[in-house]
Amino acid sequence: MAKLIKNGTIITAADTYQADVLIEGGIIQAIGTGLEAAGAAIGAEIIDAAGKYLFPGGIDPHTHLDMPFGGTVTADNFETGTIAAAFGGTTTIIDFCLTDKGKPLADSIQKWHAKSAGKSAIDYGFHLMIGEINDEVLAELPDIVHTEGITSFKVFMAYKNVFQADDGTLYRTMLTASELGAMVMVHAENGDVIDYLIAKALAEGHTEPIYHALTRPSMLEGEATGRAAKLAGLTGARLYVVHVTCEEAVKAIAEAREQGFDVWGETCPQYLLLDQSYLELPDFEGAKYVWSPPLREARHQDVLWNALRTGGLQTIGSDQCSFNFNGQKELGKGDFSKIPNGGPVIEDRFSLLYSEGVAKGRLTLNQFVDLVSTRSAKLFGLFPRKGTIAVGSDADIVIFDPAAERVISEATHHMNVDYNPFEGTAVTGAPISVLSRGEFVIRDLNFVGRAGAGQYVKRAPYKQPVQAELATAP
Amino acid sequence: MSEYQQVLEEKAKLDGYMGRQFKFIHIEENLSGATVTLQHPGGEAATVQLLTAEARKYLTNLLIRQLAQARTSATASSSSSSAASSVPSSPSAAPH
Ligand SMILES: [Zn+2]
Repeated sequence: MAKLIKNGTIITAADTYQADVLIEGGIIQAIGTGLEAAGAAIGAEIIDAAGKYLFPGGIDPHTHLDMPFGGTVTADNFETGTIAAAFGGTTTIIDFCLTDKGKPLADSIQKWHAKSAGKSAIDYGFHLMIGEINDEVLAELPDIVHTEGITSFKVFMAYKNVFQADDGTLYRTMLTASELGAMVMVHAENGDVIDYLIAKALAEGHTEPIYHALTRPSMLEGEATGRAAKLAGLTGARLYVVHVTCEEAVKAIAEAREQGFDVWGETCPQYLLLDQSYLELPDFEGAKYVWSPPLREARHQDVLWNALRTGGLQTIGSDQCSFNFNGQKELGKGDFSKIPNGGPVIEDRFSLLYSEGVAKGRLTLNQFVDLVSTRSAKLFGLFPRKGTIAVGSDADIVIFDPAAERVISEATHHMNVDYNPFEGTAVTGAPISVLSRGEFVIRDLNFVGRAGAGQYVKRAPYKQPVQAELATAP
Repeated sequence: MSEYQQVLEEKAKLDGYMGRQFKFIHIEENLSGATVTLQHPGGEAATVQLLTAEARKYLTNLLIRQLAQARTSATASSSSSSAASSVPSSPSAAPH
């Protein structure tokens, strides 16, 4: 149904202004004042957004929903995960499609479609994990980019003997991706050295969660980030470093960018707001805070905030990967290396960045929008269909009350998991209503959407010429 | 068969073997599901295929119980190594 959102303040990555937004057919048809007659002519419902911000819907470039691993599966699937995301102001996610070595990539992609189709409440796309490069893989990639619209490939430099790819594979993936206009993403940690440090710690009888952090020092993240960045420079590939956590990695990205390399960095709320000391909580509670890379010493947080403020890091992902404390994280009792890695962040990513960033004066409103939505849309081939409030764009809009106050809690969150790593954190500002392609998914803090309403989005290669992009824009 | 029925069926299979004192000795995973190998103290072996996410999560609970029992009996009699050897190969870390 057509809608006219009146009296709100539109915030994009570039502008802040008061105007009304007319929506029909899921698309923003007009922005301005005096749109009442046009709205009435198409029977538009009037929505009053006085005192509210209108943000483009959040884009979460980094989620793991319904992901199998180590005898279990993430607590949130595409239904619970995307509903929680919508509550939090996110209208598009890009999830990581894992692959099995030796099997066609197309099979894995079909599995991810089967997990998400009919379940996702918001729009979604996929990144594709590349674990090996051979003739079969090379033959499949052009179709994956041009037909499936998967234009980002993920390579793991960590998780030795499981997902880790060697530098040769990373290099060849970069060469191929660059030719296809696809971006290469890396999990940058030195997996070989970490593997040794974990074995050594366990052999010495160190089994507690804190050893998860102690066996993954930040220098090894910096080293891997620098290595990947140099390979990107060598191949001319576009590189996106997921979940940057530390000063060493921020510096490596800055150095690469100074040299003109096409290198970008993402961080996550957990690295901005939590630190290594959480891993030392008693009664195995530290397991709730096991992410890879690990939470760092608190001094790194300022470095990350500064990088967001000055453009050294460009996006915020949630790295949503939830496991219940009871019944899943417990796998690692007595051996930190078996604690399922990851945490539930998909719902609070947007609010935490607003509250800690904008409300606390670290970021401007426009920087916030760029970090939480626009930059990801641009990097991942979704812009201008998504990532902004503009005529012709999808009407993915968050009606946000900057004056609202709430406290994050497992008791009230919508993720299907038994704890919240930000339990008790007070946040300023809240998404009140959320529209996906012009339809309410969240209305006045209630879910009114539908599992399965989300559509799979094909993404454009980043090297698509500007003229072609204009010609195919909606 | 509905997904719900499939979950029930897969859980029932696991419960059946648990009731007969089988222990997990190996879990092999891929994107299609998990192949779970169990063994009875008497030597009899069995294999269960889990295709649903819910059954795989249920497996985690059973596995945690077995790991906890193994730890308890390991501390109770430090000379016994059979408990520790009945624990399946380590689950891999989750990728991000
Ligand atoms: Zn991840």
